[in-house]
Amino acid sequence: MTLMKVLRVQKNIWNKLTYTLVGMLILISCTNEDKSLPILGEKEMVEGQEVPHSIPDFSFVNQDSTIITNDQLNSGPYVADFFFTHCPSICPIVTKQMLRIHDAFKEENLKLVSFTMDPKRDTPERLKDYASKLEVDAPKWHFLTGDKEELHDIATDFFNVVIEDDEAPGGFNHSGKIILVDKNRHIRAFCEGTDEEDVDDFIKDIKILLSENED
Amino acid sequence: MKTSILLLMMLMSFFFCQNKVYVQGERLYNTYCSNCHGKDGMGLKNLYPPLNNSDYYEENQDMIACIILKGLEEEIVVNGKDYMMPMVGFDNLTDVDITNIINYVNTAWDNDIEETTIQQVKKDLEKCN
Repeated sequence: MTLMKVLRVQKNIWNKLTYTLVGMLILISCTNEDKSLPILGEKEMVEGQEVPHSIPDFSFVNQDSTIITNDQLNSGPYVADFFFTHCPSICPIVTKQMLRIHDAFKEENLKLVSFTMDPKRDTPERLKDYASKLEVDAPKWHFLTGDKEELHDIATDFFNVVIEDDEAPGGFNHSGKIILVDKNRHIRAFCEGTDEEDVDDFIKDIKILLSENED
Repeated sequence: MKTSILLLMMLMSFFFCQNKVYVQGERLYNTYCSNCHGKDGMGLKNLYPPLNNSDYYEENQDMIACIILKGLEEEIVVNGKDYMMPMVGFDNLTDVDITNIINYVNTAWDNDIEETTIQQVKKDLEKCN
């Protein structure tokens, strides 16, 4: 009898503990949902003032031979990746994940931008062909080409954030990162575009940013 | 005693054969092929053709070994769609590797294509240009 009693008391304690734990978990997950994304990257000095990192001005040509600058992109957030059409290694996997993001945010104010790292081969015509084979269009998804140096510079700028954060060695042309930029040109999140689960989390980050912009 | 061990071994080999998957073929497929053709063999939109339920793949079995080794530049039609993204070859793969990849694909997903042999693959490879 007494043993049963002890067991019952223990069971009671356990129940209480479980409820508390579940309650705490719910609380934690709720606060997590409200979190806003940090601004990533090394701070910059502008006129002696420390300001957050931001993507510099750029001007490239998209698959429809339209000139695309930050202004065209910054009506809302966008995600960016770096690729080239003739790429049998990791590019197709990243493109597949970009396509997932494209499909997940079809109706939302989110653009996609893929910068080619092989502008010599990737002419607007070729990019147009690539985009139409993927069944995607500008202005939702821009495939950008242009001056090789400028493309390299913009990639370096994007990736210095990533590399600093990731301690990954250079060599951006092997990087399969997908990067989220807000309408104020700040990098807010990035993920490994070859890792489906990482992209799942990234999609949640995009949702957080989009809800932020609605306010 | 001896018979029971023998019986056990037979039973075990039966189960292993039942679960026969081309483990090495799958590993090689995931290294060399899946980036474009997908782990599910479905390809990617109109860029990369499927290998699962693919008429081209099934009808050109004698050319698959060469394509894996040497790549493919020409435009092809798969299940009624044009594909023109060039494929690179993998000349570091051995005849055994290629046989394993083909047999994995032939039996993976919905595919139920007759398996090939190393002899057949060697013969097919002689015809590569």
